[in-house]
Amino acid sequence: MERDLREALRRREAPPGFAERVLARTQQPETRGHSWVWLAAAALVLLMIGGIGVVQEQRRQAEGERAKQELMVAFRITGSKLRDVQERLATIQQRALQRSEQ
Amino acid sequence: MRKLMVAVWMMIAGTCLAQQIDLKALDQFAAKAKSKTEINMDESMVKSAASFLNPEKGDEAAVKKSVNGLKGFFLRSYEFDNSGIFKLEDLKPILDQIKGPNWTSFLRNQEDGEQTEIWFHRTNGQIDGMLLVAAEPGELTVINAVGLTRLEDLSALGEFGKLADQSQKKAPPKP
Repeated sequence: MERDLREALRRREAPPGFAERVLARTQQPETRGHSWVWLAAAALVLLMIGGIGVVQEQRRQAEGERAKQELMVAFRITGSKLRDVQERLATIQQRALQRSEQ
Repeated sequence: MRKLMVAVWMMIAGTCLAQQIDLKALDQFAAKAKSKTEINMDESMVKSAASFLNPEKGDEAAVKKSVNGLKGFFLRSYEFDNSGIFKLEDLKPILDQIKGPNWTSFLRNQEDGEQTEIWFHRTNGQIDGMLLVAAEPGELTVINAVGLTRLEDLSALGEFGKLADQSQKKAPPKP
């Protein structure tokens, strides 16, 4: 057993070219490729968020403009009706005045 | 305490709802109308619209000044080809809703098949809502402004004198 252990723990030289292969592996472009993928994904997510924001803002603007137009129409009709009422009142008053004069 | 708060909230909600008139009874005329304008704006829509009004444009500036406090605007305006489409009795479901003690008649005029009514809703003596009904042969308009405090605010887009001044006077006795 002692002999087996000694044999197992015996110092061995690395196979030729081992160090170069390790260094080469660390410099492989694969790693850099991963980071670009992540960057692209992050940019895409940011673009999507920005796009959704722009669409929402455009929708809010459109709804606000539509509401504004409705409000303006509502005020125009109301103003016109109130003027009609006032004119009618004036006619009634005039008629009453004429009757009292007679 | 909790019950009291619930009661207070219910009273506030009740007051707000009381100013708003259900205009569904007029839907039947929409299909028969030659032209129609139907506007339903709740408080959030009024506020949204107001934020888009340009204070430097004449008309828009006038309206912007007038919408303060407005909590809702509901309008139905129909024009018909002939005069027999609706009867004044058809307005009963609308006018029945303003029989409560908070509604006071400001103006009622009925002659020659025409009917004009302006009613104000008051809370603690202060005007906070209006209903205008203008019916004439071939034309029907009903306007309900919730949260309105001054009649002259509604005439922002035109000259409107005496009637607005009179609306600020004391509430007339209920007929």
